[in-house]
Amino acid sequence: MSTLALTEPRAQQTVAALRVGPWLLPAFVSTVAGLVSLRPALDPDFGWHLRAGEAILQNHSPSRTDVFSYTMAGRSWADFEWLWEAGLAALHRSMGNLGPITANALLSASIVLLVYGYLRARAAGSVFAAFGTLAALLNLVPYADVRPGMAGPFFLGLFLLVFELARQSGNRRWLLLLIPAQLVWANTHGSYLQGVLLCAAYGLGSAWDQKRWKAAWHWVGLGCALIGISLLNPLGPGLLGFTLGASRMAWNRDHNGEWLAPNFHQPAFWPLLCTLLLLVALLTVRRERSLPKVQLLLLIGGSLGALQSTQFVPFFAVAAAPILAHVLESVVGQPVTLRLKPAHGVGFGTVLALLLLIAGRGLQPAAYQAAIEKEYPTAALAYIQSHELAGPIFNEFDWGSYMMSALPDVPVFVDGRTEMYGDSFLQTYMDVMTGHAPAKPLFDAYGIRLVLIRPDSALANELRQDPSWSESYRDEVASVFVPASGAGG
Amino acid sequence: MILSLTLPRSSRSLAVPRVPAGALGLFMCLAGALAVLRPPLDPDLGWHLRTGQIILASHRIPTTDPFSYTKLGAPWVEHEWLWQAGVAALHAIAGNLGIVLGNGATVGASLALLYLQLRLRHVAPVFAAAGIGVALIDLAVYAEARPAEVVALFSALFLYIFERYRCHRDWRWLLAVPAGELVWANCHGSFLLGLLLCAVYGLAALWETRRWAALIPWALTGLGAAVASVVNPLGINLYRFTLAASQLSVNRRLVNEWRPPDFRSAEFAPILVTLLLLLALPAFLRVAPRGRAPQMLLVVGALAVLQSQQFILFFAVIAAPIIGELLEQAWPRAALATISRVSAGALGLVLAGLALVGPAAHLTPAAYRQTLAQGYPVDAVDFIERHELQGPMWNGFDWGGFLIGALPRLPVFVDGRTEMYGETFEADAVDMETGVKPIAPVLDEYGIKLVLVDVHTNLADEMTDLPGWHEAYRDSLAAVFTRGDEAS
Repeated sequence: MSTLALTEPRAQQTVAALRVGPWLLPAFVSTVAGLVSLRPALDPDFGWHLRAGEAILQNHSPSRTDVFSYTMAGRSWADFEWLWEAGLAALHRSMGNLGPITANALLSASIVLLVYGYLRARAAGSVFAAFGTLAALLNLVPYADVRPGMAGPFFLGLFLLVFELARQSGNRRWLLLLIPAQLVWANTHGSYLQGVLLCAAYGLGSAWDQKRWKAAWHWVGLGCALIGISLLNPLGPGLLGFTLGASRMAWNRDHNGEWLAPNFHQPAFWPLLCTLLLLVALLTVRRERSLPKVQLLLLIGGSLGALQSTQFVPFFAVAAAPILAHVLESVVGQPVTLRLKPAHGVGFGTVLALLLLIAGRGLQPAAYQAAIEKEYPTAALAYIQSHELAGPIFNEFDWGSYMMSALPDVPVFVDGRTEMYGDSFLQTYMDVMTGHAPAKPLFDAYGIRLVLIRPDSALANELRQDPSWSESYRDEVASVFVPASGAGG
Repeated sequence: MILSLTLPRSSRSLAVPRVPAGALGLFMCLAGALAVLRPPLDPDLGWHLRTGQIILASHRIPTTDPFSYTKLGAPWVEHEWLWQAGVAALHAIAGNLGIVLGNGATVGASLALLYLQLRLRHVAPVFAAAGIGVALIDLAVYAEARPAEVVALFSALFLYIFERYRCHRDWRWLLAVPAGELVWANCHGSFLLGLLLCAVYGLAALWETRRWAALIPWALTGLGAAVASVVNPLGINLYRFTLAASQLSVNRRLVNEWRPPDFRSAEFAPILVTLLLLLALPAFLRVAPRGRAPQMLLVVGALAVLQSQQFILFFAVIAAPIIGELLEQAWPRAALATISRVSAGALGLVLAGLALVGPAAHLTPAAYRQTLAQGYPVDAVDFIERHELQGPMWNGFDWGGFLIGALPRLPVFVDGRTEMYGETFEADAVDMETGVKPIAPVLDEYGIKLVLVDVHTNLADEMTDLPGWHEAYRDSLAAVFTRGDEAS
């Protein structure tokens, strides 16, 4: 086949390339996106989302009070991600863990397709659009877990594509599509405000480009409509206050991994690092034309957000990283045509086959269980169950959600629903965990009879020295402490 | 007054001559020097100073540890001896003020070299001053009296020499590079950046000319610099030592300067703004640095600073001048040749204010002590001296360097010389402080009689409850514990 391709006249090769080029690259990149997202659901909040979704399917309404912890039992709880949770539970009910994982892979693939469509709508050549899409994908991969946050990049991609279609065609009716989309987004994840932010960037960019404020009017109108439709949610207007309040929580800023600034020593942030460096490098060697103002705003806003907080990396991935396509196209200065040779097909096929193999192995029951065991105290929980140790239990923050699904009859002390627990409670918890405050008053206040924490924590060291507690179980992941008089095992 | 009002416009210009815009550059350099006149708070300064004093007194560089009792006599690699000797000499002449002034002079000289480099690149004085203004803002927070400050000085010096060579094609300028590298290698482990700068300029020359011959001067310069850097107490082993230090996980975990900048903190806002400007200016204004070398340096600098705070000085020296150059390209008509006398007078007043207010606020003995006492156990050390408490003393990782300088009578348990103590020892010391590991076995193992601890750590609580130990002193920062009734 290879010989055949080589003997084809050049013109025929180009025709063949034109025929397959436009769909091949996006199909390849989106399939890669789907395959790399086929991995065990390890997000620390997966458990409570699933339990909340199951409750919604059962009661046909989102929970308004906490039923999973004993520390906040019966207290008001704003479950604003109810729509995603209901979908998660429905998928889980029909296909087990594989259902949400497959849906998440499809979501990743569709995000990539949306980004590609957006770049093509901005007149990027197909090869450059594929390059920009690949940059988006690489930035998204570390984040592409089964979690409501994946709704953010999906809707961002959709908004960008629709904005461009409306701009290019001059038909503003396209924008009406976004109103129902925003309704779904606001009931799925707190990132829905990014839709309004995107609208503001387009409005500002249009006014700046055309040097007329009038050019921003329809964007202002759309923004107002998006905010208005967002209010149709279980919290009503309270959702806005709730979302902004969450961003001001000291706990979130100081301890929640999603809110911390990226640590470029970790491989998960290397795609972001490489994209930023590539942007710096390419922007400083090109002089042909300045970027459109909207893109400039997205580039600066996305970079600022991603450098400040990990949770904005998906925004950067979808809104800022694809700008690399235009910058690279400007540097190259001429169209690049894809000439597909059989070797390319074999290469693409091999990559996909390898990724499929890796994903398949990772999702085998034994491998799945091993991945869970590495992150969560599965053996310790089995010990607790087999010895029928009773709570109230004091648990690690990161394990609360997993415990809800693994040990559903035991209410937790704390889990990832930080907005419900509040700063004061979480700080008290943290002070005890880190040894900055004695455990006894807190344990007495809640009548704690069982402690499940990491074995190398300051609290574990404190309890080992406390004669009133006994370490009844320990492995590499977890330690179980019980009152000394009732030590089991 | 009436006369001047009636003078024609041209006559007024003659009557009030304007000041060359180069005055702005001078202003920035002096402002930079004055802005860093503050008490040195680097946790390692104490042991650097003591080492320098030993070197001046004995005319030899120590090869074994003289400061701790846990590693007393163990091999210790002192590769920063030249900086330490310099600091000790300044301290001998003018006390702490000498160190502070030396730091100010280093920053001022670094900015001056950057200004001259920009002028060599034909950047107008106004924009050259703007560029070093950005450098000043980036440097100001991080420019402490520590060996790492030579990064700014030598990077700026090398860049100036390289530009000089590029402009005049006089190879003799490059001879200064090995000499500079010799000093740099004996001051701080960042000397490898000098070789990196040579490599970048060489590759840029190759890229621009597409001739291998263009590499030759840079390769020879780099080779000369590499040979010069081997002239140090460790010889060729300095390379292995420096690379090994960069791979110590304990450094990345415990030492702030090895961590990446946390851009949520206001401390790093200038670096964040500089990074965003480097994206925004070329994207928006169709401007780009002239030549491949600055373009490549930008990428190298950005990579370095996003990885580790210790490269902030390097990034500032590279990036800030480029911003000056980009601004000039964007607004060439704003390149004023002169500034009005009123503006020059205002700048003079600002300098006078900085010269008077800064030192008065920070450098009087009382203010100096107060600033130091915010981060270090100054009063607790006084208590220990007053009561002549005896060691062995346990101290935390962050205070070891300070104690070596402030309490020379008592050898320390641990300090910031991570490469000498090793990863496990340092990590264990920190785990004891945070309550992850019990301290009691260590207290017995070393026969420790005195514990000086930060009251905000878990160890302070642990010591309070530890049988056989007595809290002899406590203030808002530190607590002193003694075995039995020793202090009472």
